[in-house]
Amino acid sequence: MIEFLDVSKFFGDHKALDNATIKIEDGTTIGIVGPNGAGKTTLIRLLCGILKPSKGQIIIDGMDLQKHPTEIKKIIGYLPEEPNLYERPKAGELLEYFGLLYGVPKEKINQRIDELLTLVGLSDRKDWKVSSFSKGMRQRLAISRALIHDPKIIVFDEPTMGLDPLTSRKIRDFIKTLKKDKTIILCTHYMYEAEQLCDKIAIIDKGKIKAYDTIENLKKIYIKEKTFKIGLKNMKKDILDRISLDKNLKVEERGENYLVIKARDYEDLNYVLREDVIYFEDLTPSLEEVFIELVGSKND
Amino acid sequence: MIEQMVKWELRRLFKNRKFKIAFTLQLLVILLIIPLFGSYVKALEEGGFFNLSIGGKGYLPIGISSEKNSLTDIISENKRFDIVWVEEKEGLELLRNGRISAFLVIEKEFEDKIRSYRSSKVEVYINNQNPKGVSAYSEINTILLGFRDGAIEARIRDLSIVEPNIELVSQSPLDNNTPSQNQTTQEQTTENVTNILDRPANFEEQIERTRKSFEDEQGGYIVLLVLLLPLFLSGGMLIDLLISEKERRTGEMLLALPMKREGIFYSKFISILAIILFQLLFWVVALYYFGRVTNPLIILPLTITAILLLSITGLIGVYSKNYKDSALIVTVTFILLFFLLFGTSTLYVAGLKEAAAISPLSLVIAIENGTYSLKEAAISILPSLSFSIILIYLSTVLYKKDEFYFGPRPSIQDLVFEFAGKLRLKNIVFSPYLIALIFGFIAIFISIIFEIFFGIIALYFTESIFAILFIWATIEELSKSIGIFSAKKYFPLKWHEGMLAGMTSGLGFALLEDIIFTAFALNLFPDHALRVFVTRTFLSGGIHIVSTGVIGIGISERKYLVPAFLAGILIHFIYNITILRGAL
Ligand SMILES: Nc1ncnc2c1ncn2[C@@H]1O[C@H](COP(=O)(O)OP(=O)(O)OP(=O)(O)O)[C@@H](O)[C@H]1O
Ligand SMILES: [Mg+2]
Repeated sequence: MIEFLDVSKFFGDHKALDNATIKIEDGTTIGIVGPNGAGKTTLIRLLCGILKPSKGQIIIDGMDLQKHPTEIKKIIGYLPEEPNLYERPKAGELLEYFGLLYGVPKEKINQRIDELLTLVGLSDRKDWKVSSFSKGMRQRLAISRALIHDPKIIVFDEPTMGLDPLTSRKIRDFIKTLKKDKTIILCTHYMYEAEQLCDKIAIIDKGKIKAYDTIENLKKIYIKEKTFKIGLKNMKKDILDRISLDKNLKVEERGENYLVIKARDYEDLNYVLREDVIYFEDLTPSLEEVFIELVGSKND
Repeated sequence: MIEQMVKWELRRLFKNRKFKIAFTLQLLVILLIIPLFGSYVKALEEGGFFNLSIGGKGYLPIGISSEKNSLTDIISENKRFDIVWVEEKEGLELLRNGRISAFLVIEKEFEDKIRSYRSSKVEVYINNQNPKGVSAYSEINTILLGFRDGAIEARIRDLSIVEPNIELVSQSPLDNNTPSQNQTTQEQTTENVTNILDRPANFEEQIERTRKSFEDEQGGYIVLLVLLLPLFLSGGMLIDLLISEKERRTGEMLLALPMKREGIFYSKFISILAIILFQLLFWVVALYYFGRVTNPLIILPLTITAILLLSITGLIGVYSKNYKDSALIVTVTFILLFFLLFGTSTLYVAGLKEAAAISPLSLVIAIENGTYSLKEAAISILPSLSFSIILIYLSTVLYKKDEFYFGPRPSIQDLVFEFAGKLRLKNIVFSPYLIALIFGFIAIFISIIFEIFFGIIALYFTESIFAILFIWATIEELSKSIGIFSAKKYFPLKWHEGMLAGMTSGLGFALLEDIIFTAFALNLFPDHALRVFVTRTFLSGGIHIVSTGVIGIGISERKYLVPAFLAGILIHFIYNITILRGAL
């Protein structure tokens, strides 16, 4: 269990995180989304004990992070936002070094390295120097570095940033395989990534946590109505009258032979759909658009 | 954990081809230097080390009017001289024409007189307008002094009598109807008129020995030069280890490790220290093997120096944002450190042993010459070691702060403010004065640096002592005012509070200055140390407090800024003049 209790972080006068309170249960995957500069990385660094909170308390597994930093850091695997690695050593050497620093027993370390490199698809690159790696390979190596000590809590800061769609997908698939028994905190710009991978999402903006809930609940709360576009062969007057009198439906737009209607659900549209429908489109915004609306409206 | 990290850092360094080359070169450099070093010592044997004039064999044409004797033998051994043997008249003529740069007139019975321990006279003429004159004089003088000391020691040894009275008579050119642009120095070995047996063998041997020991002192000095220059290069490596983590942003992985943050700093520090120690050991053993170092114990003060160097570069590495940032600080610090270390050891060789003893490098020379004592060793080692420990502690304090990796980096003022804020004594009102006091301590170092720098420049343009005193007063007042400005940055100060801040800054300055002066006085003239301490405390201390207090008023009430500064500087300046008058 990870608990942030009223945590704030200042850089000089700038408040990067503002009274954040958040609870993360063991074994869940949490997505942290928010625009650039929202404070996602700051939150994550605080969680990893890399930054010290200016105010508030962070409790992990019942221990105060400020008081027991080394014990807690042992169970956290952290992939930084800019996964810069040392260039000179070979991939295997790099993993070995961090393995030893994290206290992985010497005799187990090679097995663990091979395991991880196979998982991220770099098994044939163990003896290559890091400097010869492409960006995607570096990211995968950085991920295996973060996991070298088989941490209970995994923290990824934008793991797919700047990677091609295929590599991104591979990484997402890999994260899915981790989900089983780990607590994962995933920071991302992409709502669909969060939707795909996470049980709960925290939306953060300007240092404040705007929303923190399951995807289902977020949808329920923020997507109260669905929007449909219906093309009709002929726009009969009686239908149009009925629609305009229907409390459950709201006409957003009326074209020559189509209607854009807001409704709670399909069922409300049943009688419309019995007409001669040419086409039917669901225009309901995704969670992504909810997110944009949530943080965008105040940003501008 | 730290051990693991040190291993890794070392492995990483030695995996780096460029580092490997540099490391090997640094080790080999010593082997290259050994023959060079040998010729240095040879050069020493042929002439005075302190003569910094360039030029090789036969560079200095001199004239000698004398018969051959033991003194002229020694002079002719010096390959830098090109000797013409002439009569006195002719020699003076050559000197006037600039054909020779110095002219020696040695008494006819010189050898006999000296051997029978009677006074004898050597006259040295130089032409002031001849640019080589000074060099020639200095070389000759070194030889004459060595000769004289040798002669005296020989006599003391032979007779076990008390040391005789030695005079070095400077003769004004006019007294001796010598040519007017010539300067005469008379060298006399005074004597007891008793009849003494002639003991030539012992006599020559003794002269030889004295000359050797004089050169040996400088031998230790060269060992230093040879050993320390590469050490300075190593300091940069620690900075690199610390800053590269910031610049390449790899440090974040380290910060996330389950270890104390200062552990990361210690690992890097120890890694570089290990490398330096290895180099030192290699060099000292090599030099010892080739007979260029007589006592391998010099590794101890050299290690202390290395630790001092690393603790300074470590702090710079922690404080700097990036390489550019560090380059400036490093350059300035290294110049200062170089002057401090070599300045003190030069003082040591020049004979100001007590004042110079605080430098561990002086201990290197002392050990080399076999003249060190336990007390001397402690004086050399403890200050540097404690200073290093303070710096290392400071580095870890800073390293633990988020800002030194992630920014925004606090200024020195911010750090002092934070520190002063912590020490607040119930009442917040004390903080500005604490800040001012701390900057008062710092101000003395700032002003010493600038005083030396501008003092030399001022001396170059004007010889007026008043100008220098004025510049010094200005520098000291400006340095002390930093404390007031810093206090004002964080606290609004009314005029009386500004004055108080100024006074505390002045107090801090005076306190530390007092300690430094008294320490020097204790060393140089211990009998007067107490008097120095008392006068400094009550007079200078008071003046520093008053003058900066006045400036404090100006800083808190902006409209009086300029007049207050002028008044403060003037008070200080007038005091300086009064003291000078008193001293004269
Ligand atoms: N070291 C620092 N010094 C000053 N300000 C900082 C520092 N680190 C972060 N900030 C500020 O704090 C805010 C939050 O930054 P943070 O890096 O947490 O954002 P983020 O949500 O991770 O953004 P991105 O999506 O761009 O990664 C930003 O306004 C940033 O400018
Ligand atoms: Mg970020």
